[in-house]
Amino acid sequence: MTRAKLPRALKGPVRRVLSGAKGAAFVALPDTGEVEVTLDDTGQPVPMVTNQLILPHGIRSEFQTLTDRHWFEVLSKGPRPPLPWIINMLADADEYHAALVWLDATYGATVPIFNHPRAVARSRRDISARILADVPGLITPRCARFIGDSPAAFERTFADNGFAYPVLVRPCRSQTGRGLVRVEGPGDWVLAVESPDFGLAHYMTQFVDFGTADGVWLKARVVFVGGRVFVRHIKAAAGWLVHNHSQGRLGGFDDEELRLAAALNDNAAFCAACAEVARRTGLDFCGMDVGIDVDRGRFVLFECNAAMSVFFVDRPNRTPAQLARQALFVTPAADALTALIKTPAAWACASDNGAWMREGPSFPALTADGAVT
Amino acid sequence: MKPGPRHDGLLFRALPDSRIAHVAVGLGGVPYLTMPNCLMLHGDVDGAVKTAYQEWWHRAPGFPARAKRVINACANADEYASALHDLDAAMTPQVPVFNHPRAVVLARRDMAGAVLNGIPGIEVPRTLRFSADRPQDMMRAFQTGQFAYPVTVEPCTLRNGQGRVRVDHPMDWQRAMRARQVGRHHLMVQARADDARFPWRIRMTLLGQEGAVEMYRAAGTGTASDLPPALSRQDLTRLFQMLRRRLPLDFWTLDLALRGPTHLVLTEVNPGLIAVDPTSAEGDLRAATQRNIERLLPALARVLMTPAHWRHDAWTLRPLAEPVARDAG
Repeated sequence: MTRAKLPRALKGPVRRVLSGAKGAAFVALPDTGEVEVTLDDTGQPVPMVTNQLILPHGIRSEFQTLTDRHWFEVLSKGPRPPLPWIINMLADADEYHAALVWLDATYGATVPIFNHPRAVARSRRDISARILADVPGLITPRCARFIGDSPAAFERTFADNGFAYPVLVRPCRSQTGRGLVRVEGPGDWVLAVESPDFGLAHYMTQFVDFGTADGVWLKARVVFVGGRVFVRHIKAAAGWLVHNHSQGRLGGFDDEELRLAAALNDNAAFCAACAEVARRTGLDFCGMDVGIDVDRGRFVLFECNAAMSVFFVDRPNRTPAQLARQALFVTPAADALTALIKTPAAWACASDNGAWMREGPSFPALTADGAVT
Repeated sequence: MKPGPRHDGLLFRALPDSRIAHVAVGLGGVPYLTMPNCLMLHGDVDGAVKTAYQEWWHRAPGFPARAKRVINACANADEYASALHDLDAAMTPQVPVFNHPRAVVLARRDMAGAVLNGIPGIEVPRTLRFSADRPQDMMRAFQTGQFAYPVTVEPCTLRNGQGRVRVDHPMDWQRAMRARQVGRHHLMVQARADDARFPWRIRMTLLGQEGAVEMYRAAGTGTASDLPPALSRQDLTRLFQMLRRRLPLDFWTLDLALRGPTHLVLTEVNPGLIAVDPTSAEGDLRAATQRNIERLLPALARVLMTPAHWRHDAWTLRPLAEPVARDAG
């Protein structure tokens, strides 16, 4: 989940009325009207922006000169200005449903939109699982969305969708493992029922073991920029939960990470699967987390959406090794994204493959109970 | 009317323990945060306070340890438990504190019920605070508290009936259980089968030595032709005096259901100006709230600028470092 303090620039007033020449950075508050807050360095409260596109640090100042920032909450209440192109910063169809529907209905068919709202809608975990279900070379676990507001709701979802134990249950809008519960058997539903997320929309995902023969669990993050594929990092853990803060995360993994990244880039099946994923999502920029077992050629999809943390603030005083790692894993994707943002004609919605974004049925109706109509 | 140098004054604010706040975007395109359940300062009062007090957020660097007067903006014992605890520990009896944290905790709905119990004319329904992490916790609280149907259940941090579920019979527990918020405390309150016959509420606001009363109709009840029972001025004066004696808050409100001229039923207690936040109420309550704002703002400005007149007796309450209540569930 992308997560950042609201930059100072976003807190100021809209700097000027659209000239028409500038593009728009489209932002919104979550549908709930609630945000997590923290104190900044000066001791003042600031909201944490979640599930929005985070740009490479190097492009941010230039981006501010290229675009005007438009809040859905303001834009939707006034006259609709003509916009030459739009960067949709909203990366989660659950969190920003109202804004994405409005963006699609208002500009979706007429203005080039980077990360088109219809493509963002398709990146919802359960929809994404359906769209990517038969990508050759990729194991895509089934996923169902439901409202977890009773013990029966969890068990009914399990039974109705043909799941087998174990399954992973997590609240929608949550990533990085927050609120994630692994249900091993019928006695474990209580873990989800007694969670602070009880009552909210949840995802249930079939757990697929992705451990290697060496007893290590490997997770790769792949970045898609305009159809190009970049390996962002590979993390390892002694258990199935592989996150930065996982207890079992393995350190001293840098050399092996380089070897595995090269192996992934050389793996024709993996590269073909990634290319197909990029084509099907329709997103200009997104990330994919995938469990990998290169030796056995098994690749298990975890998630694929535009809300991935890819670019972080450059730390000062980095070591040569860190700089080299940056050059290898981050800079190429950042450069590609920078170039793509400046070229609306190359965005997915403008391509033949993106005709479904400009035409046909409008934004998919994502109902509260998870159905897609 | 300035109480002293600005650096001597502290406006104490905090993030909710949940770290969740409301956010909105103003028409100018500026997002702004609203902390729930806190003292809200409007217009001129806000300006006056900021010239005489420096705002400090709990856990920010540079705690102004030498503050000589403190306005506590944290107005809910459940929402700001850690901040209230820390403020209580940091202050000494020599420092006047507007809405002292010990008194704010005492205004917690279950504790306020005990404090206000026994005032002639005010009925305090049985109330139990409990955690509802497990579905069976609600039924357990019902039994532990020796309740009878109907009861209402609501999270402690919501106000004005938000999140309130009425349980009239055993079949309603499922609905209440679905609405519960795991990880947060809830209140179970004894209700009555004929509550709907008594739509009128009064909101009593106590501010320093002043008091105000506004009538409003509970949401979804009553008809336009209803007339509220009349309350005498003498009754109100007597009530204000007794309430003031029982709860040492500088600024607080309580909502009461009006069953007759001398029969009031306690429904809600709130410290601070949260009760006059016009965005938090609907319909009749919003209008009543707006009238309260207009009536009380000048008085509020006066009280906030006169620390010598703040309630000092809150210091005699139990320190928050000591256990204050045993929860059920």
